[in-house]
Amino acid sequence: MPCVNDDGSLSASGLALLRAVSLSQNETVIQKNSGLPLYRVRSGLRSLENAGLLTTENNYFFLTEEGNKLLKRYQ
Amino acid sequence: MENLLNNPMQALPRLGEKAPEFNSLTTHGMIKLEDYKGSWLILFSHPADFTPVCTTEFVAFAEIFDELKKRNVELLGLSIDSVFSHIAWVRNIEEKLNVKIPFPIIADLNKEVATAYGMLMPGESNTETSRCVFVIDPEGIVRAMIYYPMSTGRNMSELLRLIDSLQTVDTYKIATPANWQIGDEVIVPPPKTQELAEERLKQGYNCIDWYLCKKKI
Repeated sequence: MPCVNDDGSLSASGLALLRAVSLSQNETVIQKNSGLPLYRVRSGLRSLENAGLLTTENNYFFLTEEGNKLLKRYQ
Repeated sequence: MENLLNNPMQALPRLGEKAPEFNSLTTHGMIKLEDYKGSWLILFSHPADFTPVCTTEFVAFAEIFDELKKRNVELLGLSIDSVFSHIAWVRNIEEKLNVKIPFPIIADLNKEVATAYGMLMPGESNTETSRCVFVIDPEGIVRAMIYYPMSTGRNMSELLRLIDSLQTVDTYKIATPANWQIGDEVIVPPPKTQELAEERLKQGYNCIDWYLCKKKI
């Protein structure tokens, strides 16, 4: 997974995405805030969701408790 | 040939039809075709990593990357090599040629995408993809296909020209003549009835005859 390293830490793009999701749940705004191309946002969000750090509902993205906890480690 | 055309499982991509879906390991992680919805995509294959013509092409693709970005076009490379080979190669290009490869490359070791897109030409090689280019529009429709042999590197100016033409065609509902470049006159679609043909010559276009009229946009 490109966003989450094998040791559970976040890659630079993973961290950018997780931070962007903490600010907005909308894909377009997440893209703007993360500075990543749209295809990387979509593939990255999918990878973060597979890692249990995000959930999606009606095309909106939400940090899980685990995602919030991990993000706090980087603040 | 009859079977190939009638069996969608074996059919190769065709212009104007949906591009085959994929979910592939790339140098930027797992990527699906649908991740590009809303952007134009140039999906291109090369024979192999660490080969001379391919290296010159990758440098050339990187050089037009910003121009493509301005046109809302993403690049996605592919070859039948491992992701580790791709990573080593792009790092080598950066180290030796000082060019960063900014786009992902599919590691198509099981030839799944290469087969779906008809990138393998057994007359050339069963193990390496030829130099194929698929231009896919923001709705996932195949809009152009170009096939080059392994011996001949592609022309980036032509790829940009092709993108400009497709986007201009979509915006203005016109066609573009041979060797057309941005700023040149475009072709007004020919009239489809005798009545419209008679009217066409009075419409102020630059006409050679009723079927070949051009205009500025």
